[in-house]
Amino acid sequence: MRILIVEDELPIAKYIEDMCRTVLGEHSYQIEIANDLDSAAARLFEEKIDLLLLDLNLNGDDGYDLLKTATAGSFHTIIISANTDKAIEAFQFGVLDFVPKPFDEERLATAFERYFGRSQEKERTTKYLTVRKENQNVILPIKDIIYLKAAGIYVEAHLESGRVEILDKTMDRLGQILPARFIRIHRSYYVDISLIESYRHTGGGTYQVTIRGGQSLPLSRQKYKELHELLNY
Amino acid sequence: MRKTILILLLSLFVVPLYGQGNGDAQQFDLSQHNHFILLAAWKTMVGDNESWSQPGFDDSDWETLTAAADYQPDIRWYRKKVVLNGSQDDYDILAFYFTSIPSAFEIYWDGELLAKNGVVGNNLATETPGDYRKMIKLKREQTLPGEHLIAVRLSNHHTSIASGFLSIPFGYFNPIQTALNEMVYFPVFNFGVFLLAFLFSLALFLGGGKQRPYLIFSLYCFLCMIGMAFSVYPIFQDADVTYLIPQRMITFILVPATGILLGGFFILNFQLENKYLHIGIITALAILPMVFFGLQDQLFELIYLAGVAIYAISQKKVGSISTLIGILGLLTMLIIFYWGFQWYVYTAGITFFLVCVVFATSRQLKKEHQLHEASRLRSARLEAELLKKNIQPHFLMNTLLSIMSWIKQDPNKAIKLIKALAEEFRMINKISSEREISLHDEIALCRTHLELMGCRKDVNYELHEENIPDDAKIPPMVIHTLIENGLTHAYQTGENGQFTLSCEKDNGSLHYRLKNDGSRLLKQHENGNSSVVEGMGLKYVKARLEERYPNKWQLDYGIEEGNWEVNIIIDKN
Repeated sequence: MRILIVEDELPIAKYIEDMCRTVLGEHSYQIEIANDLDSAAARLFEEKIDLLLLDLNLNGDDGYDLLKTATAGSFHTIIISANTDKAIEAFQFGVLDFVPKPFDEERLATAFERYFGRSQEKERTTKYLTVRKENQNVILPIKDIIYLKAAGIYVEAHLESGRVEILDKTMDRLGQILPARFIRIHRSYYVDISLIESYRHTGGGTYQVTIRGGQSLPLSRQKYKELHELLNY
Repeated sequence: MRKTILILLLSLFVVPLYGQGNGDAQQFDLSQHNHFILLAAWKTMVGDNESWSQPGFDDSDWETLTAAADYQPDIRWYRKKVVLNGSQDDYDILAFYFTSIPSAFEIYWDGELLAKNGVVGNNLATETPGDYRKMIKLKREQTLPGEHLIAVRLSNHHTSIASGFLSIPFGYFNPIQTALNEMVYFPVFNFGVFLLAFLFSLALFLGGGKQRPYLIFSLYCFLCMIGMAFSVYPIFQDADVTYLIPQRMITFILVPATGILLGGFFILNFQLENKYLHIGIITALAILPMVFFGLQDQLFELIYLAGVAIYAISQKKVGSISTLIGILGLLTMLIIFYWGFQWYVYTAGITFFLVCVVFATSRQLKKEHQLHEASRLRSARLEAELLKKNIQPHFLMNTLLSIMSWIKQDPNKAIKLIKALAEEFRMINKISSEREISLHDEIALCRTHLELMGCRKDVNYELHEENIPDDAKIPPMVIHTLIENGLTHAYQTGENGQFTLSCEKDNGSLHYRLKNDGSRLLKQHENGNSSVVEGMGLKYVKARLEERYPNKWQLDYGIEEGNWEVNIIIDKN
């Protein structure tokens, strides 16, 4: 696991690094530190990292830009910031966690729990995903998405308009930040549950979901049971 | 167009109610009970002859006065025929009233001496001045329908400098008495109006921070009051005719003086530019027409002031519209007054005008109050902003996290940081409510902040001072904010920093220069990205400077000789 810490005050960056080491213990990891926006942005897309620990108020430049940049990447982002009033916004953009400064080991450990998917998930408030297109970050409102489909290391977001956007995040990572109304009906599919019109066994061990507009998506056998319980409860 | 109006207005009172008739008999209709006429177009002759009083005397070679001709000191006779038509009411009697009175006179009706006022004489010694007012009643048997002769013998030695001309209201006693009462009551009423306005504006001056326009306006009202007092005093006190002299002299002073004061009030009140030019013009308009044409009124000033008010409206000055309305009202009333000498018109004009001025003043007071309130709010907001600086999360939470990190890495540094934080809090608490503090205190505060930030970032920041005068003052946290900005924008992580604050005195202005040697802004500048977004910090600095030195400061910034610098110039004049 590769971690990038973006923090302009060296002693604090070092403190965060030390703490990560304590929390991660025997995990295998690699930690890097960037001091400012420019070097951080360069590294985010050159090197494949897994987790970004980001100070949202970076040297006076608007951390919001970096936030959009960060959420467009394939990695998870945890915001570490003194400005707790930015937390709601950060969650809407799909950050994994928001750690208010000052913090201790315990709080950072909770954030890592989330990363490893071990924590009891609260209701996610993510409203936007960010798509990187020709070096620009384009905001994609989640309410426009009908379903998500895995495509190699990327994910296709199928929109209500019929358009398809490519997200630079794995299915699993998206699953950690998507609102609860998106359920995984298949290894390769997330769908907005409110759009499901019917589901059925099509014979031969295959199952299908029909969503609004008549399109059919595959449903795995195990998910069929879950869905059945969920919808008939 | 303007010229035409001026000439028109001028003609209105150069020829006041004179010149009707050509020396022929004037007609009086006895059946009109509420009626009196002004006797004008007299035949006149210098000299003295008893027979000139007789109806049978042939005055055809006498001069006929068709315009207002002032009394001369020497004895002179005036003759005038009146024809009474119709029939007289049973109870009414006819009367004369002398308005514009000579030193002494005798009046004859059909050759009979009707009344004497003083003793007519050849010179100052033989003449005895009469009463200031004179009402002469006619007996009913004297006023039968038909032609009658009025002859007046007068001399004017005692009051020769107070000009006047023979214009006698003649007619029924009651309407003359009513007109006479008006001449008394309305000036008394006006006196009261001016007294109130005087006290009101004086109170505004004394109680409202000694603003000069109010003093000038109270002086204007006071002089008008004096003028009114002078015009009614002889009526209450039965003064003799020589009272005309001080009365005339006081008018001679008061009319231009009140005109100039009124002009001065408006000019100062509207805070117009070129105020001395305006006041000069008004003074000229007040004095010149009087000197050259003997015009004793404020017509020209009022027209000019109406122009000033229109200009003030164009400048969006508060209260200028009601002022213009007031001036136009007064002008209209004055013109009507000169046309008919209706005192109530004059009073209405004055009252209307004063109400408009009071209204304009109250509008200005309201505006001032609003401005004051706004500046108070601004100050309160600035103080709150100052206090917020140290508890804003980005500063405080990062500092606390820094302390936590130093506790683990180097506890001595943590202690140093806590001490610096406590010291900065203490200092800011001390100065928070001040609008200006000693620059040395500000520098000490900045050094504490630099020490704190140095600890946080594990670098060394210093502030050097050059030529700072011992008595220099500055609004609180102005330099502090600029240094804070410098720390945020100018330095790269791990870079040490030197700030230099210098001061130059130059022709009564103070020039502060704050430099920093940070490389980050320079690098941005070299990359062509030199645009600086003015953030909250700079807004705070500007608001502080404006609060303390309104319109007397300048702030600029930029790169000078490889250093980023901020310049503040404060004009101390």
